[in-house]
Amino acid sequence: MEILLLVLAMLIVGVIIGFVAGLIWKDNRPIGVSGDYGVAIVSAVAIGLIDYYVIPAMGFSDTLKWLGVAIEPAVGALLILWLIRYAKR
Amino acid sequence: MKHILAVTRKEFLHILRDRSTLFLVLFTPTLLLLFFAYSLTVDIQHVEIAVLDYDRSAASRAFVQQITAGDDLDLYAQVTSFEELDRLLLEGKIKAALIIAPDFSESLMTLRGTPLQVLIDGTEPESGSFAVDHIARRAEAFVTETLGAQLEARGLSAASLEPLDIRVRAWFNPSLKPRNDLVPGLISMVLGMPALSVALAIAHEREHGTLEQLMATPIGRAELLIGKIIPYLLVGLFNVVLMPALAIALFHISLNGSFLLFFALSAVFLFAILSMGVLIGVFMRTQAAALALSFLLIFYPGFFLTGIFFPLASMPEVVRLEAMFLPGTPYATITRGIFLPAVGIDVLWPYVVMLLFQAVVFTAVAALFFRKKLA
Repeated sequence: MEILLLVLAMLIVGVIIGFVAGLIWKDNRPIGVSGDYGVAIVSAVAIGLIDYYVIPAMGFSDTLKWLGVAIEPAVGALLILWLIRYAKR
Repeated sequence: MKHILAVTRKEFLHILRDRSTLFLVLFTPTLLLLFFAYSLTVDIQHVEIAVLDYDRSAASRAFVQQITAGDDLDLYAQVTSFEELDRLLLEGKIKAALIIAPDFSESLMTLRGTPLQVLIDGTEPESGSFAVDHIARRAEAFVTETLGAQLEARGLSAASLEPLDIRVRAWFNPSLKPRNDLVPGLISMVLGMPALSVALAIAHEREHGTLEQLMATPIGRAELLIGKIIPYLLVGLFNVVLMPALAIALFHISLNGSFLLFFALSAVFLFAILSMGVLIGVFMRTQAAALALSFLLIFYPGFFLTGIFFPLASMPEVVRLEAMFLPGTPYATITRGIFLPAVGIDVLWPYVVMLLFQAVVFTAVAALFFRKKLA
């Protein structure tokens, strides 16, 4: 149940980042609209899962885990979309 | 003067146009300052400990509260069984454990010299010794406070009586020989050497224009990068067999865990560190720049952020977490975990996930930028 909620939350974060990418880079979509959404969703889910499960398993505090889950999926997905644009420029 | 200004202008333009030089000139001092400031300050704080209180009396609770009152020792967990304690030490989540005997309060009040056992993680002796020192100091303060009036009436001092008999046992490295801990940690550093070679090889090909010739052939960029990595991976795997053999034969270090697990996880590490080497080679235009950046990202963190030479407990938690994003740090935990406490994949999996994550990210970014940076 916990994992389903987490994946659902990260899916929403991914969709939001995919949408935000369209606002930031209006005429620059080298992998298309669906590509942006796909990359953002996959990145957010992967980073969110790593933050949620791996950080506490390495002995770090819950504060760092929640900080990671709250910030890193969104920032990471946005960074990946920027890297793709920069590389394809 | 005119000539000097012309050369100065030319050099400025060179620094501004060559981004690798710009990066090295601008950011290297900042990065080095951060590495050194966080790692060379061996001011240990917040050592995680666990308590197993068999007595569960008001006195033992007050004792635990006193022990963990400051910034030096943090109570990670109050466990109810020895197995839980064992697990926490094995997973590296605590560096010391305090076991309070069932007759703690009774023995304390009758000044019988209550035995108190402290277990420390021998793989990080500095943090363990720190915990023992602080527990002893706090214990003395606790006894003085609790039994002050009683002792005074009898004309005694807590120090002369030693009402608490603290016994220390080091786990995983009972003799506390620094070499037992150092050599497995060093293996994680020296196995990173092929990354330097691969970064230099790519930078060398670019510098001499042979990379363009390779790109003109039907070889794909992913094939080219993988083909570059494989020889270094094989040499690295040979060293993965050689290094433990040398550690055992020359330094008498025992490999307590599974060699097969060590070999498999070393292959994952080599994949991650070689991908990092490729990434450095892709971004740096010259061999000198690649060499400098390799030292900055591969060897300096290996020295300062892996806990081999400086205790991790002296660094803020955020810095320890950031250090996990460099392949050497999770791998140092893996080698020390397999060599000394003989932990398995059930404990090491988060470090393997970190290495795989890094390998995928470094490879993807290197492949993404390979052609662009060549242009």
